[in-house]
Amino acid sequence: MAHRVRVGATVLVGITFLLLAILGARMAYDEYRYEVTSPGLGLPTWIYTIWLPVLSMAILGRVVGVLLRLLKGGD
Amino acid sequence: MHPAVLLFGLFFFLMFAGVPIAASLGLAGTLVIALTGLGIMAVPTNVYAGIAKYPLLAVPMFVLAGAIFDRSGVAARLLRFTTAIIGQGRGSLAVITIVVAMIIGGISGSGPACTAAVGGVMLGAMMRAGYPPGFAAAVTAAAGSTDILIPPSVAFIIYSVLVPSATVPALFAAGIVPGMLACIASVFRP
Repeated sequence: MAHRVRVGATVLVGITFLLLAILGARMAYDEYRYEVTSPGLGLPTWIYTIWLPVLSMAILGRVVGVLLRLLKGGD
Repeated sequence: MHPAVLLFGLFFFLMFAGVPIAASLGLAGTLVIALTGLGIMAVPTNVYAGIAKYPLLAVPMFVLAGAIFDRSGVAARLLRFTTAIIGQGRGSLAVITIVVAMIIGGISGSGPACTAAVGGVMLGAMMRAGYPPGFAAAVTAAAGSTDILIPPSVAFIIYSVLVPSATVPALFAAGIVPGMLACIASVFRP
């Protein structure tokens, strides 16, 4: 039972970061599409916002790794 | 069902089910925003705005400073200096640990970094002197954790980011006396 709850909690963490990656990618794509530039340096802002989806995907990868280890039965 | 009930109910349910608090908050918030049609793009915007703050740049630098003190031998020199002040008596190593942590807390701002730097030097010394391992670890951890009161301190910077009306200099000024009192109290704790 406790094992099943832990698997469910890990899946929910994965869903959170998957959502964040998708929505963050949409936000970064919007800023790329509309060519938003930063007020001070005039750099395109997507080079800052792109890291939200990229790093969310990295966390998602770790969550998947934890999930695989849980499912394999190890602790 | 009122969205607020759903928001808090889902958050508490997820939290007590063992989902990490950040994921519970994020999931409940995202779901309620999606259900009430507040504009789903508010989610990544808020997450990004929550991370992208300039004062947070100081945090990794404080941790780096603690690691540098540990590796370069500054912590070991501080230890010699403090030993010269305190002297060698019964229980002196524990007092030295607290005072060294207090001095490093005045240089570095991170409690964990300070504990790592002090522990790297003092734990071995206390073990060789015959202190019980649990006592040595407890003294180091307690001394390191009082350091977030002594300026500069990462915790104050983060608090000032969250509460804009509390400025960093005011928080630092307010932390000096309580931090020193906490360290003195740790020294004289029976």
